[in-house]
Amino acid sequence: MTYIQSRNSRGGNSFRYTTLSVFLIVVAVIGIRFLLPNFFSGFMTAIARPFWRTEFSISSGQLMSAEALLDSKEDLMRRLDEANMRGATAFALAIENTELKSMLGRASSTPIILAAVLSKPPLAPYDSLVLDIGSENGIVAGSMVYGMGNVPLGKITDVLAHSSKVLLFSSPGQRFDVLVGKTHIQAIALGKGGGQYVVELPRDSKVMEGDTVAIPSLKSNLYGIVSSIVSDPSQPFEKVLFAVPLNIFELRWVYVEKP
Amino acid sequence: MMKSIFRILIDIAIFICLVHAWWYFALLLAIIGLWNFGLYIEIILAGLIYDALYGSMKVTDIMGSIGLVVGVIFFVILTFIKKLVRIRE
Repeated sequence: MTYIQSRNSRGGNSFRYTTLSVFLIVVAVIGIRFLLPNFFSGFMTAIARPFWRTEFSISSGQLMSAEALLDSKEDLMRRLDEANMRGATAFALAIENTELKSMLGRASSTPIILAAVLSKPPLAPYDSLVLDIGSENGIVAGSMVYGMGNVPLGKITDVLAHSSKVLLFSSPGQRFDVLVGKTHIQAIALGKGGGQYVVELPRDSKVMEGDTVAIPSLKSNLYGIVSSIVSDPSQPFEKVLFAVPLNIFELRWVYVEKP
Repeated sequence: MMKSIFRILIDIAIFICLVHAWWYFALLLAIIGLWNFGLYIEIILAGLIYDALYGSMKVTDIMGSIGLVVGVIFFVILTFIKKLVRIRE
């Protein structure tokens, strides 16, 4: 015979025991996280790291055939030659820039270290990266992280022995100062996730699509490029949307500033 | 026996999804597991693993515990719904 389970049956007790067990597990987890904040993260990262490294190696082409690798090498050599030609001018300008700053006593001597991006969850709620360097490489929490072309991307938030986590500046809710457009209007940018930001400016600020956004520092690093302007004639402000000039979801290497 | 093997396969699939940060597939698989198996505590462990891999390590940062919170909510709600609608032979 088939019947709907009674509320007074053993199932009711079982449900209570289950709920109690879950409550105890959550309390235990919070307790462990409070006493040993690195325990779960370090343990799980150590397990996941080989998988991330393997995936990174495959995406880097380490499992390609010898013929394909040779073709790729030739193509890369040719492109390297072209880039070297173009880079020579930029290099000369960079040296001149450093010399001028040095003459004025403002030369930067901050060392940087290259890091591989092991994980970049495209739809993860945290908008964070996992890097393959950690405290053993001299990284500390708060170190700045840059993309190719010295584009500031975020800051190191958590450091383990062999890996670290980066909270991107574009993480939802993050706020910071920027200089927008040709006239360098100072404003506060708000992260929207996925390398996207929004800034509110007066409607007559004359910012246009394609204008650059920089951070207020001597380095004048390019921070983003204005992608869209949302203007409402009834409002005194307009919303300027900008994005970093590289694809966050295709990042493979970043630079981390060492303290 | 078959049910145990199916459960282990789903657990492995959830772990692979978590390592690749495919949380939407992991959540879907966990809901399937939660509906089909009794006391599917793996959904809470999955949330814990997700937080450990990608979330903040600060205990005061609730944004670093989204996985755990979502896992517990789904576990409690689906266990309750299962209790209400399941028909026993």
